[in-house]
Amino acid sequence: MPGGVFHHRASAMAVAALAVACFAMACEPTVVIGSCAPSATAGAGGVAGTPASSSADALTVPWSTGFEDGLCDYASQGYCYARHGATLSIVQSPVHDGQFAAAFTVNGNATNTSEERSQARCVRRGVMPKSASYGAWYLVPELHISDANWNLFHFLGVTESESHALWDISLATDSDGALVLTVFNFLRGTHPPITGVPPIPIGTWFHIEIQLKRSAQANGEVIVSQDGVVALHLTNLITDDTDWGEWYVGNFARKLVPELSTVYVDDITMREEQ
Amino acid sequence: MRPRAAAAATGLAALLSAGSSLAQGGVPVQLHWQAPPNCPQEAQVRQKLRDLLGANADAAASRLRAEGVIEPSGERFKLTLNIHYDLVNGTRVVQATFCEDLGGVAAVTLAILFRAEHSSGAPLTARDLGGSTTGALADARTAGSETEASETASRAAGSENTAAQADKQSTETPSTPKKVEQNETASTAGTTNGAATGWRFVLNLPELRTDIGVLPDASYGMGLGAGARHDAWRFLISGTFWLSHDYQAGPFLGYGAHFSRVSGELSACHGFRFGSFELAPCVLLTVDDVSGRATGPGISSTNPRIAWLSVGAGLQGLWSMGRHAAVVFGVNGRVATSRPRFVSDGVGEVSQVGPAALGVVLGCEWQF
Repeated sequence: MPGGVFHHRASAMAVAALAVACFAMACEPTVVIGSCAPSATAGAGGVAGTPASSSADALTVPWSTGFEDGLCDYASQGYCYARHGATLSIVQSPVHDGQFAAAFTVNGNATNTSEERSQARCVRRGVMPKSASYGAWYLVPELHISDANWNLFHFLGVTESESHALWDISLATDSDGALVLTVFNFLRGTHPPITGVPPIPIGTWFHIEIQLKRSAQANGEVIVSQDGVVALHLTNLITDDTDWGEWYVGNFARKLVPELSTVYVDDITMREEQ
Repeated sequence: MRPRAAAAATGLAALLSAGSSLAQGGVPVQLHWQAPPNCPQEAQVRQKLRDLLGANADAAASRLRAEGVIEPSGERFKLTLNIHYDLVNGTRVVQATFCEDLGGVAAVTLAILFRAEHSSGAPLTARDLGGSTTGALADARTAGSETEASETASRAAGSENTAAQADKQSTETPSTPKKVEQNETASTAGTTNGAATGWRFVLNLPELRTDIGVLPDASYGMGLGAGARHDAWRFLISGTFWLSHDYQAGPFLGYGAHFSRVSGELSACHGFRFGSFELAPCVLLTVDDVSGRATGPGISSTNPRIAWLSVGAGLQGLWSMGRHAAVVFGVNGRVATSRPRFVSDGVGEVSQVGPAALGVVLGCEWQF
């Protein structure tokens, strides 16, 4: 065989082998083209937007974000996502405090299946404190008709083998057509009654807070308040039967009229209670 | 359609048999010859052609093929020489009082075309193969110098410079513009014969490119290439600067990335001519170098870069605008050997290089 032909074939085979090897090894190097400032990402955690493997680390508390660093406060021990036609953006107006807030926009199209449901949220994940308060400022710019599953807060418990929902705080349309808070206890499958608070204001910031004393032995406690007024107080119940969990803040809607909704969120806080 | 199909089939057969043409009686031009017994036979024509080509008869291959037929025509003899160059065809008809002269005419004609083929590197045209020389020889016949071509052939066999002498003698006959044209061709072939390697420098400038599959949206770039042509082969190395690219990272409004990209490409193409059009399948080796900078609230970036290799194939069409210029249009497909993922804090994966890319190029090729 002539030497030139041999080298030609050898070169072609080398290139082909390289290509095959790369495909076989799934050559997909990760190039980090953007980073959050170190102060925003202190602590362990995954990359936001890409749920990482479960971390055994306890969530850092107290913790807060006003989205002044964009989504970077979720880059550690959390992530943000938007799917099925939802969007998430950082806005300069309206804001509750500081310069920025987050806008979560979803499409509450009832024809979507549960797997296709439009949702945009930010999530803190890890070992939840034994007892903590979780709060956020919300602004709903226009009235919608909700089927009671327009979700603002969602707690998920995770075990090694499965995950299941624990608590929801959502908006429902009352008999007068106003939007009111509603709470769902997934462990009992009940909607405990909300009392003592008015419908949420439209176009004005309002504060939602849930104080959750986690317990798997029927001695837990739940306090939900709206603008500092207690709307629900439950004691001596199982509140969380897992050690590791996720707290979702944002916008999720099963059925809304009109379908397209945006809620603004600012100044999310998480602090440990004694 | 039938003649075209036949021509295509003939051309394909010629390509397949090109490798064996050197073995045909020691001359690189494939020749089939038919003549009455008292006329020059195939072996004599081959020998004359070999004499005319000298050392080139063994040194270079040719894409020329010819069929020559000598027939009585009244009191004279007529040579019909059908000449083929890939899929380009031409016919020359020469009449002479003595059929002995026509063998030389055929040999000279083929020798001149062979030299033209190798001296410029540019493909021969139908005009080269047929029209002008037929007319010139017809003029010569009209002028009563029917034996001149064979005399020319005899002289050409003597040395490299005899072609020029033949030109001189030819121009002494009543000349026409067509005859002058033939003489120029012969002269050029003779003077460049010593360096008739068939290599030509090629410059592709400008090259306008677009592709999809590398970055999240279609890319547009401008570049240039340089290389060489040898016979039907073309080897090029080219570089492209692509317009920078801003990308919105999916549902995270206000977040995205700014990409900059340069690429280099090695290509080898083999051309098939159809008149002034050339169709060239190519193999490609491409290196893409991309730098990315994430954008969005709270995000900073060091603008890291990464390069990877792609292999592919393409098809180029070249429309000749004379011997030195051509318009090039090509499409190609490439498979990436690596698919980098560009990620950013806050939004995760911004973009990933696709498994394959499709590109289009439009440009000008200059041959020297």
